[in-house]
Amino acid sequence: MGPHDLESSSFLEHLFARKILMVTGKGGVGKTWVASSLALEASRMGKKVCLLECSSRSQVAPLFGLPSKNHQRLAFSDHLDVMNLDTELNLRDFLVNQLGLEKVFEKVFDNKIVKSFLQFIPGLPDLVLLGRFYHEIVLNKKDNYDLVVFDGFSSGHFFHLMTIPQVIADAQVTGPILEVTNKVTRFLYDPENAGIVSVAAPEPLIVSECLEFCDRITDAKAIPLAAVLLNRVPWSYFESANQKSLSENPSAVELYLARKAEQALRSIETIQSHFAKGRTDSLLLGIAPDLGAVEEPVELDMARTYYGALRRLL
Amino acid sequence: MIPDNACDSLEQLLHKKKVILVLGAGGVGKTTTSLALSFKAASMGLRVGLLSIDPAKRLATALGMPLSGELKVLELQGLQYSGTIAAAMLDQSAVFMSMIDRYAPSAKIASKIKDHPFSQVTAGNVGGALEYMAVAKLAQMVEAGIYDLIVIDTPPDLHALDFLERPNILSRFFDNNVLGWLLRPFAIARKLGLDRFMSAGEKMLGKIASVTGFKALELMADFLIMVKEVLEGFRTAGSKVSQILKSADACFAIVCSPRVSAERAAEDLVDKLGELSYRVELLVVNRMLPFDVRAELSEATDLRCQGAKYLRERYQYEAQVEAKLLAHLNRNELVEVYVPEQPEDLLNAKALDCLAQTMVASSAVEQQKFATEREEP
Repeated sequence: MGPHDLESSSFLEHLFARKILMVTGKGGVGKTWVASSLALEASRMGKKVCLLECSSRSQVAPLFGLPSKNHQRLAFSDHLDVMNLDTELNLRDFLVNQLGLEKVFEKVFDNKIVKSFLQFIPGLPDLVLLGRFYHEIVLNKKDNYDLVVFDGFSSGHFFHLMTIPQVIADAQVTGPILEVTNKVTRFLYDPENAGIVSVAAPEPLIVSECLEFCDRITDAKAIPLAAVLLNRVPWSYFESANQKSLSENPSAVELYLARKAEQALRSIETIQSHFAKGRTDSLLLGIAPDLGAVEEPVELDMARTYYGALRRLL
Repeated sequence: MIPDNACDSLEQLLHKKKVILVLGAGGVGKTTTSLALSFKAASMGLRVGLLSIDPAKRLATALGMPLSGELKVLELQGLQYSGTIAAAMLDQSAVFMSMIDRYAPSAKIASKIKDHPFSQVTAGNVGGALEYMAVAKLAQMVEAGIYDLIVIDTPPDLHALDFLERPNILSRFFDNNVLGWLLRPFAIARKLGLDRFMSAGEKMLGKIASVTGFKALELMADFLIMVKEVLEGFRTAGSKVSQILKSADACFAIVCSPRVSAERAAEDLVDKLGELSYRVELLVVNRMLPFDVRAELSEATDLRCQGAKYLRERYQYEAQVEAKLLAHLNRNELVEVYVPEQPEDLLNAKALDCLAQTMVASSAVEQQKFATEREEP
């Protein structure tokens, strides 16, 4: 074990103490990689993991060399299942599993009218998504997952999730939906259960948006923020012979790498000083390396290298 | 071979088109590209209207973009453009309110609609609402008749295309006559009293009520009855926009970056647009490795440091991704722009002006360079 392995394993241990992790971040920062590699590492540590996404085109399946199937639970290993949720089918599952409305909807769900109507109910689509996480962790006794990881949408969308209880209240919804809303949100707002992992990359706009997001999430006091991960930090940061000075006639590649390293340092400083004042102890800050290209299917060792290099910012 | 109305260069495109819709996955640089296109057009003397969906706060502030949703002419520090850019962020709620004002049958009803709890909710949360509001805003901008070019930055999800397929708000409702179906019983129910109506065996509504509760269902129906004309207004706006977008006055720009998810999204967009007979006439590939770095990496035989090795892997992978995307496109009708990562933060007018100039240069010259690079095995 190298000197930094302890840092990485304690980061992961703390993270995996929760039951649901939702990975978010601006487009292009590496959400899918982070969510997938977290799920993979957790499964290797012996946890039973469910990795979820909700996209028109699966981003996760190709990483694992799995076929892109809609709304089907695919087993990558005996400890890791992967599923791309379909919005409509997820809604049907929700009505049947959580609201116990099987008899009611069995025959009519496919009815276009009912479908259209249900999709118009404010807040329902997002509630249904949160309900799925709750279902997999609490209600799914068959698969008995220890951890659910969600390769989430971009940060902007998360705020809609925060407004669900208010939306449902404003629409004067009562009955089963209201009860489930309360149950699910109570569960997810508990830091022992759920946490958001906000991923950023070393660019000023990306970092500033990430930090803004973190502040808003913290202020909302809804789903807790578990970790901030600065991804794509140049490899030179992690090498022991860290800050090499430029050679006499630096090549374009050298200059480029040096510039990137400089940018990364500034990003790290920005993040550190942002959280220096009064941050909750439980918030994890980490930085992780740029490994060039994530091919499909990914080489499993890549996750090892990635988390092996991960550093905590204290 | 090249169709008469195709454009040879970015400048030509900006002159010819009245509307450019900018599409692409999240994080590829849509907002920046939309800005750069607007800057270039303004530098050419055009009056530009720019609608941005969700620009970073820092950027918006730096450019003096209003946070209110009303189009405001930007003061471009340090630039002497003969044209102008009027920019706004999409304010969904404001657009919805303006549509209510315009299409509700009376001021009284407009007021009732706005006060209804579902109004706030509809503007924000109904599936696809964002796209419909953007369409309505675009229709308003076209109607204003004061812009030579309108540039629309779109939301990253693919849903951006839903409204193009069926330019009606809550289109499913119109398609299946749900509105009619729903409103009729409620109109009756109002006369009879809701519980009497339900107990008379209204099954469908009863089922939905078992999910939402009666009150919410009533509220929803009340709302739908009131907004009927407003929904028609959205439908009108949608049709108008759809017509414009199909004409030679408009085009779609796809923004991509050399990563797999962006490329896949771009392919899906191209396919979808093709199905609907819309034209993709501009491709912008952002965030490429700088040209000199690429040149070195392609020749390098001995890269000693691990960082450089990872960089080369990235370069090779990116080349594959680009090749895949280009194979998917009809390049005869396309203006291609390749933009390397910018060394400066693109947070002020001068930097965006630089970017705009880079884009123009690249579309003419680099196109050829990359074409040759890619042919090598």
